[in-house]
Order: sequence, then structure tokens, then C-alpha cells
Amino acid sequence: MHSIILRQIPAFILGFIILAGCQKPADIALTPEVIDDNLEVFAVALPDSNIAVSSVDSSGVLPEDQVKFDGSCVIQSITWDAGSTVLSAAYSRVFFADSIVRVLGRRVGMGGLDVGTLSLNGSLMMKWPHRIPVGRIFGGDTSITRGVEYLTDLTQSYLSDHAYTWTVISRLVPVFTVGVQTPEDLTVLSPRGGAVIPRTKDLDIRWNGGKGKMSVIVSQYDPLQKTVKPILELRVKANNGKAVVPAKLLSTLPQQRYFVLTFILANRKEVTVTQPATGTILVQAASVHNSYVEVR
Amino acid sequence: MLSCTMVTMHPVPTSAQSLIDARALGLGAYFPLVRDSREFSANPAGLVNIRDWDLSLTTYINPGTASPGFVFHGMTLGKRFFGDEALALRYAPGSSIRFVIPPVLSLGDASTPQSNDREIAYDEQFAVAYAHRFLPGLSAGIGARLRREEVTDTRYQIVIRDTLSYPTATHATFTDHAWLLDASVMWQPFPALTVSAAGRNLVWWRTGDAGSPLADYALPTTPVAEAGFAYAPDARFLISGELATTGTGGAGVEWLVPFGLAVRGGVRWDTRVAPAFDAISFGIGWSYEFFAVDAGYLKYIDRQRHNGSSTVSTFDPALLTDLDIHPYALDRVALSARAVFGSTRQSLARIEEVTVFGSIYPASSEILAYKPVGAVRVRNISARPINARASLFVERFMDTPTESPATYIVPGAAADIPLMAVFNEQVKKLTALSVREGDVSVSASPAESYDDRSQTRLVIMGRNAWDGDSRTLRFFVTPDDPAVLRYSRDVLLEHGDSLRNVAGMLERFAKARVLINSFAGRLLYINDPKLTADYVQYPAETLQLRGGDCDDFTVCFAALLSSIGLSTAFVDVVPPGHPDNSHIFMLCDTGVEPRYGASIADNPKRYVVRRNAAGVETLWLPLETTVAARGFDEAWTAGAQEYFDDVEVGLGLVKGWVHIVDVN
Repeated sequence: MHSIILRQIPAFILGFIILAGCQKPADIALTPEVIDDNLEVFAVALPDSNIAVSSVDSSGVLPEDQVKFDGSCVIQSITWDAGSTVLSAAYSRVFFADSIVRVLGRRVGMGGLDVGTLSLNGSLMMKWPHRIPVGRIFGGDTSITRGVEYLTDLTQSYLSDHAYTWTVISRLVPVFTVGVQTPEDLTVLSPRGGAVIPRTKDLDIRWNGGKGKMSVIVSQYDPLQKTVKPILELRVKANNGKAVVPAKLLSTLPQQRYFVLTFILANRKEVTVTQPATGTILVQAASVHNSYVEVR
Repeated sequence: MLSCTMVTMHPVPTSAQSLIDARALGLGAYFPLVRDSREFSANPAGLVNIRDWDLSLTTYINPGTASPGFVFHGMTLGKRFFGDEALALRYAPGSSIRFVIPPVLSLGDASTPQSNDREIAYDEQFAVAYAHRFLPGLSAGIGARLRREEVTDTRYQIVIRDTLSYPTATHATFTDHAWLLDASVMWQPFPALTVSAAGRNLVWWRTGDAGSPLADYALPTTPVAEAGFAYAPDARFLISGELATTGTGGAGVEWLVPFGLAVRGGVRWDTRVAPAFDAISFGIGWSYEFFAVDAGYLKYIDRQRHNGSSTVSTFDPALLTDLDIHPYALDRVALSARAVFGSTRQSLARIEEVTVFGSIYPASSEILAYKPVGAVRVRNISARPINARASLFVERFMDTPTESPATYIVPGAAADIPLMAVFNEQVKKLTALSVREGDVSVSASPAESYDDRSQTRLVIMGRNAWDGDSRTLRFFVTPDDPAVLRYSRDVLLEHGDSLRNVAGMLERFAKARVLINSFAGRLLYINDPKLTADYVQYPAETLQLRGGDCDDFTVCFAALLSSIGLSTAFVDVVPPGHPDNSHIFMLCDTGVEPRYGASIADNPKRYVVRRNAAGVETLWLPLETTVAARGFDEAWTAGAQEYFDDVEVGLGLVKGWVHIVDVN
């Protein structure tokens, strides 16, 4: 009996060693000195090329969002920083989609619904014709007017970290009210407009401004055509004023020199409405800063 | 891309010894102690000490980590063949390291792969070694290790379509393999000391990808030399040390305690980092026959460095001279088991010297079953105590080898084991001196017929040779020899009438008288043949030859008297200062009680009162057998006179130069 037990011990231990060792060796993490994985990279979808959208550097809204919603109430403070020239503006724009506009069977946009009187913090907004750009195969591009949109220039009066409310008044009675808090002023410290960014080095980006979600839209910029084509959306996980765009990503940018980094510090929400229109509208208050840079 | 290059063209990894096995881990310095398949890659020369098939397995765990679990470190299989050759293989999936650089970018689209930014993996899963023993204490070996270096790089790309721009991540993997050749030599100048030296990366052969990013993480190319020693000042205690040109080294101690247990401890150092005192280790082990299990614990001193992480800028592949023990490794607890299979001899004991005490005398060969004919000096060359048995076999004169009782010998010690011999009847037919080969073997392994063998020469005397010891002379007395029985009975029958008239008390006395008188005038005193030390005739030969010397007559009359039931004894006289004048005569028990002494002789000096085999005091007659030709009375008278002179007057018994040896 004793010897049988002794003979079984080796088999038991050998079996244990083989069966128990099912785990892989532990990895050893090599962490960078500056740990910064604050960016998430998202694709940017462009709508049907037949549908004209506003440039992201001036609207602060991605093209996809411009056509996805049934309307929008936005208030933006925008800075264009080209290095030698820095321009700023602020405005509010409200648009309610009415009906699909087609030209020669092609969908080119949505008509703007006239909701009557619309005020922003008690001040009436101006009602403007809603123009829809239409590209033509022959001859120059033109535009058609369908409905209205509401605009207010706030360049002189825009307040950061301030509550703004849009109110639709019908027969002296508010039928629709929606509000939003503007984020803090956005100041981009790096890269400034006109900066030259090497593709082979990580790009440190720095900014000041909080109380909003931060994202950076990387767009191709054609200085001759003055067109901006968004490529990537870099969402900042935590708005701590800094992030690093790894060189691995910069090196993959198209072999073109000029880009726009559109910093959008936004408070946005999607609201489902039944009055004055029906559907989901985008409500956004944003501080937008465009840095026109050269990537080499 | 496949590329093959030889030496100096590309960087290849350098490797010092690894500590895979738990015993090695516990000792800290195992390089000079390789004696089986365990850690053979560190010192291939040690493989020649394996028994036959040798299997070892190891698993380990990293205590203190977030989710510790057992990792199957590897298994080794060794085989010894042709006596002095050995081959071993190792499969060690656990001998691997993977460094990961965490992702610096996450892609929002779930369909794109999320992974580390870069992964650098090194492993050394396969190794093979061959060893050869040139001399009993000198062996050499060569080994080859297959090492893999692999870098997996995450690469991003922006795909720009007409209506969609999106990032993608792909993995680019670069791999190369290198066969690295090592060589080592092991020398054991004496049993307590072993020294070893090894050279690593002496030759290498590389295939696989080349260039960046592998080049950024390639391990160093410099060949490494390593030396070590193991010293066992005591059979139960050993120390070992080793040093490599990489600046790494270690020292360890092992203490064998009873019940097959062993405790170990060691230290490791690495002069390339600070503090150089790198780690301490502990271990325990238990072995039973052909199975051993060990546990070892290696604990690093610098807790900042050995915490499972490092930084990209401080990561230095040049420090990875070992895939198991390196500046980035974690504390480790290892568990190993080793089993030995097969039947190839592995001696636990070695014969150092065989001593034969003297010649073999066939007449007294029976006594050699209990009295050693020689001794064999046996040394325990194993690491554990043994019970050694020695055996002797002389062809034709022995039916089977005669084995001695077991002798306990501690490791490293030597002991003299007596050699016994049980001869068959053939030895008594040897008429002249003969020199024979005796096979001496020592057995200590339960599974082995013997551990070591030797031969010695035995001088076997002729059947009539006598060693001069009166105690062995009785082996010549053969009362049951048919010739003796026939003679004694014929004589008694011839004198049957006269014997019938003798009183019962004096019957033995009368028979002795008749028997001795039967030789009156028929015996001749003849010296031993020349060139023989001591020649004793068997009684049948004396009866046939009718001649002999004192010992021949004494033996013959002792046999005749014994054959008719009388007890006899030899009186061996060796005069002090005159050994050449030694003489022997006999005493014969009459069975008469001392109170009836007058019925035999008026003079009490003509007989001796002594106890017989039954413990009863009776009267014994001294008989000088050399004068038996002149009749019983002359023999008795001469014998009584000699006894009186030597014992009574000379006090030979008291002084020790007279010995009385009972024959029956």
C-alpha cells in the first residue's frame, strides 16, 4: 500500500505541473514617459455629394450631423487662426427642416420651415431665406431658395458659459423652447495657426477652456479653392487641456501640406420635438477654434 | 524575407544560463551543478551524468501580480546512450518575455482592431544538447538553442473615400529565428569539487526578417563566457558559485537533510544594474528513488524595477541576457518534478580497493562463510546514503556469488565491506596451489545488479595445505570417511572378544588402546613434502600411506577415535622462541570419571582431567601419535611426558604457547 502511494505521487505531481500551467507568462508593460491616450479617432462621413453642407470650420457641426437631424439650434463662437491673421465671430442659427428639395430628381437639401417668431434670450432672430447650393454639370454652381432659417449675429454680444434659450412664439404664446449653456472660451495654445508640424513627431495639442466636450476635426485645406474637407474626428476623452496626436497618425495624413485643426468645445444635445416641427433636432453651443497649419 | 547569415553580420541575442528548474532557482547558481536533464542548456557537459531516460517538468507562478496563475515553463527529456554519450531536448514555452507598449490611440470604430501600439516578444522554446565523457571526471558538451525575436507593430492608415474618411489599424509582424550554439566543459578533479566553463553564442545561424523595427530591439551579440564551481566539503552540504562575462553571477548552498529532503538558498547579482545585489532565492526538495520534486522561490531586491513594467526610454534589450532572470522579471515561485526511467547504470558506489587477507585453504573453506577472506573499500559517490553489499565469486569453485551483509555509507564517505566466500566441493579436489580470478562486485542501487565491479586474485592452496592454525586442523579430521570407518570397525571386530570382557566404564579406554595398537610396527614417521608450508594428510591418505608426520598422525588418530565415538582434542605446542620446533599431539577422552582414575593408571600425571562436550569432567589420555608405531602404551607414556613437561612444568597453557583445541 505504501509503495503504491509512493508510485502515485510522481504521476500526480507530473500531471499537476502539466495541467496547472495553463496560463501564459505575464506581459511586461513599457509605458511612455508621457502617458497620453486621450484621443479617440473616429471616421468622418460626408453626405451625398449632391447635398451641400456648411464647412465644419465655420459651422462647428460635422457634415453628417448637418443632414442627419430634422433641425438644429446652434450658437457658435468661432475663431479662424491662420497665424498672421486671426478672425473671430459668433452667431446663432436655427433651422427646421420642412421638406426634401429635389433638382432634376436629385436630392439637394431640405427646405427651411418658417415657424414664425423666434427669439434668442428674448431677442428676435432674423429670418433669412434658406439657400441651398446646387452644383451643375455645365456652367457655374448656383443656389435655390427654399424656406427660411433664423440667424443672429452675436459677435459683439456672445457670452461664454452662459445660458441661451430659443423660443418659438406663435400668437404670443411660446410653443417651443429649448436652451443650452455655452462652454467656456476656447483658447488653443498649440498648435497655433501657421504652425509647421512634422509628420514624424508626436503633436502636443494644448488648450484652455472647459465645461464642454472637446473634439478636434482634422481637415484637408485647399488654400486656392478655400475648401475644407474633414478627414478625422479626434474626440478627447477627458478635457484636461492637452492631448497628443501620435506621429503614427500624422504620418498617415494625405500627402498634402495644409490642414485645418478645428477644435470644437461644445455642449450639445439631441432633442425630440413635435412643435413647431416633428423630429429630432440638434441643440449645440460651441466654441470653435480653427488652426490652419502646415504638415510636413 | 528570408536571410541566412553567419556570425558578425547581424545582432543576435546573447544568453547566459537560465534558471528554469526549481532546484536551480532555489540555488541561484546552478551552472556547475548540471548533472541531468535539468538546466542542461546551461551546461551541456553535465548531461553525461544522467542515468538513462531523464524527464523533468517545471511550472511557475509570479506571486504578487494582479492575477497570478501557473505557467507551464517547460519540459526536458534526456537520454544517455553508449555509456558515455548523452542527448537532451527541451521544450520551454514558458521561457518567453513579451513587452507591450500600450496603445496611444484608440479608434472609435469598433470594427477596427484595438491593440497595443507595439509588442516585442522573445522566446527560447527549443534547445538541444549533446555531451560526451572523455574521462571519468572530464566531459564536454555542445548545445543549440532556438531563439525567436518578434516585433508586432500597430500601423495606422487613413482611408479617404468620396463620402467617408476613416482610420484603420493593421498589424505588421517581423520575426526572426536564430540558432545559437554553446559549448561547455565539466571537470571533476576529485569527488568533492566540480568546475565548469562554458562559452555561449559561439556560432549562430539566423533566418527571418531583418532591419527595423527588429534591429531596434535586437539582443546583444557579444559571446559570453561563464565559469562556475561546486564544492561539497561534506557529504550533505555543497556550495556553488558562478560568474559570467555579462556581469551576472550567483552563489548558492544546498543542505541534504534526512528523509530525502534538501533545503537550498542562494543569491544573484547583476553588475549592470544598481543595486548589483539583485535577488535572493530559497528552495526545498524531496527525492525518493528515481523521482524528485523541488520548489524554489526567487525574490528580487529592487522592487521598483521588478514590478512588471518599465518605460519605453529606459527599456534596454542589452540587459536581456537571460529570458528568465533579467532586470524586468518578476518574483517567481517554481515547482519542478523529475523522473528517471530506463535501466542504464548509474553507479551509486565505487570500488576503490580490494584486499585479500591471505590464501584460501580448501580444508577449512567452510569457515570462510563466516570469516572474511578479504575486504573491499567502497565509496558512496551518490548524493544520498546507501546500503552497499559486496559479493565475491570464484568461477568453478563457487556455485553463486557470496554476498556480504549490507553496510550503510553516507554520501561521499568510504567503508570497508568484508568479503565472504562459500565454496563448493570442487575446491577440496584441488591437489595443488592455484591462482584464480575472483569477481568482486558492489551493489547499492535497488534496481541494479551491481554498481561497480572489480577483480582480484585469490591464491587457493591444495587440499592438503594447512595454514598452521590448530583450530583449522580439525577440518582435516574426517571420522565419517568410509576408509576411516572401515578401518576402525575392522580393528574393533578383530578384537571383539577381548573387548567384550572389558568393564563398561573402561570400554572407551580399551577401544582406544586396541585401535592405536593396531598400528604397532606399521607406521613410519615421514616429513612433509618439500616446498610445502604445511602439508596435512587426510586420515584416509595416512591409512593408505602408513606414514606421515605429527599432524598427519594426530589428524588420523583423531578421526579414527571419533569414528568410534571418542572425543579428542589437539595439543598444539609452539615453544616460545622456537616456532620451528612446534609440535602437535592429542588427547583422547576415556569417559572415565576422575574418581576411577586408579583403574586406568596409578600415576595421575598419566592422564588429564578436563570437561568433555557434555560438560562432565572425565579422564583424557595424552597420546604422542608419532610413536604409535611402538604401541599404545608408548604413545601414552610419551604423550603424558610431553603434557607434563609443556603444561605442568612449562606452564604452556597459562603462558599461551600451548593450545588445546577440541576436535568434536
